[in-house]
Amino acid sequence: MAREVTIVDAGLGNLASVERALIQVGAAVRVSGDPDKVATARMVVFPGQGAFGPATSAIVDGALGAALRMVIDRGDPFLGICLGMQMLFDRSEENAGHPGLGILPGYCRRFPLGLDEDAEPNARPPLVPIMAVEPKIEGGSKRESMAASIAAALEGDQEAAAAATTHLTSDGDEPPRSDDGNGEPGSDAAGTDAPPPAEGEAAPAPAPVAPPPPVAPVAVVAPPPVVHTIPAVARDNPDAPLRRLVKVPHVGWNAVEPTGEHYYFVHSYYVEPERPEDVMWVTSYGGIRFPAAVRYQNLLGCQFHPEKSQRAGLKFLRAFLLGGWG
Amino acid sequence: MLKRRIIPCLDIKNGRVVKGVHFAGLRDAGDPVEAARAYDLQGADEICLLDITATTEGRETFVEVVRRVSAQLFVPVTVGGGVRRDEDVRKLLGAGADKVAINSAAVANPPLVRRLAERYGSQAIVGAVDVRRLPARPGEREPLYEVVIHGGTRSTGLDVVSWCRQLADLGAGEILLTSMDRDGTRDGYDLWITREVARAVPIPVIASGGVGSLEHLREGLATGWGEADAALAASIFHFGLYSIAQAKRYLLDHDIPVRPPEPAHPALV
Repeated sequence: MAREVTIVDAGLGNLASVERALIQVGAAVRVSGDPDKVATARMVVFPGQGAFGPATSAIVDGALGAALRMVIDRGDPFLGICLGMQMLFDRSEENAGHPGLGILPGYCRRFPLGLDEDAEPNARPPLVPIMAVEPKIEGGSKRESMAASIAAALEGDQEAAAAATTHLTSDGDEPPRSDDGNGEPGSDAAGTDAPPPAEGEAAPAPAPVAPPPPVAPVAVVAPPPVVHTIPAVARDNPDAPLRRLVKVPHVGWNAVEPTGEHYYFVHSYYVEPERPEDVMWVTSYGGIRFPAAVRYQNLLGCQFHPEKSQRAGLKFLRAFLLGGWG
Repeated sequence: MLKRRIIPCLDIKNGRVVKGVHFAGLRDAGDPVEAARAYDLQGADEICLLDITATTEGRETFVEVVRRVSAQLFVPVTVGGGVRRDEDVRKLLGAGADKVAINSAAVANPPLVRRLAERYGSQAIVGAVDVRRLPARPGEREPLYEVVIHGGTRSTGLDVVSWCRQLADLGAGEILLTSMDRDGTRDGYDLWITREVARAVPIPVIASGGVGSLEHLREGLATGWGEADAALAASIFHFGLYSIAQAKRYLLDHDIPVRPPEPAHPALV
């Protein structure tokens, strides 16, 4: 009995190998970019390569994004691969803060250059890997509102779609980008960490006689320029300990904790989830520990490419297909 | 920790695997699909296919080889050789390649690299750089290198390190660095230029050209030696000198982090 899996063709890269890998592990595969077909799928795989950008924003805001939310919300098995996993989170911190689907709380960040390859995992709160969470399938309680949001998105009614979807994302914390509310210069559009420190803003500029801001309110923080020069290694000093700086992108085979299994990664951005309990497997690179796989209820995401990870990858896809974890 | 990759490379001519010395004097080494599958089963971290045919019919044959090979594998496949236009890249990616290496065309037309990286993503575009060591000049403490193109037949006068940096700036996701002087000689990688490039660019560097023993693989990857992120080799694997698993065990024994060899590979799942 072959299980039917729908691979979402969102134009985010080559799907052929994902398709072949799923067929290899016994799935009946359908590839579709049609929001209607995706919305009615019983099992969805959402692959993607690359980074957040205009293309991902279009998906998030469009009918396809609504269809993906509908599948997830309904409790059907869903696997996001690489960019497809990153898009489950709130938004990318860089690339001017392109939005994600906002199903899991967290952000996507670029690996900085110049990290020491052998660096110890840094002092940030460790991600606690968990295993074997029972899938908690919630009924189709929000199905009607999902349907409404899909219908609205299909009609191109952005406002209604936005209203419907913010209602759906558990905590409607999508900040209204480009709204006049945060017009102060220096306000951070990405809104990453804590709320903007009020005292830092207020102290230097006593407000009462503030002239109206000369230019358009700051809505988008320009992404920092990508620096392509890495610090030179002191070749002239033979006594200096040899160190090696990590490369970006993170390309190749890396082991995940706690299983120790190796998978093939290729990405420049990693996810920083807000809830440690969403993290299933962890990998580290240059001292940064990031989720190799995330899991929440019916939702599974992997940063690596199972379709390129040989035996281990096929095993992973097989497990997704059979719904067995732990 | 990220592991160094071992990449067996198949030079393809008219649909067959061949291997030459200094890019010439080719010997037949078998069927590409068979060879690629064998490497996959041994636990190769990636497979590289290079088209060394120059003719139009040869190009079509190569795309077909890429299609047949990648249909069998669940590891990344890098392809290259004679890639000139956007159309070539599209065809190769469409045939199942994961990464396409651009060599002479990038030198002739650097903006092509940027355009391809924007269209297909940096992860799909590899900057292939063939280099040659220049004759030593009196008074020079360090060797000098230049970039060569068209299979090593034409020199460009480009400085290797700055060209590699430029490729990274243009959006290439990796550098495949081949030493023309060493290619096919089994004398080992040119460690000097490999290390210079590996330290100078922010993207991964694949060392290529000259492997004749497992120790050469170690040299290419070890910190303080070649410092490459991946080691590409052809002849030591082709002619059954060593298996991928032997190479990995050797590297693990010498403290090079690589993915452990696959267990006697059962059928994939």
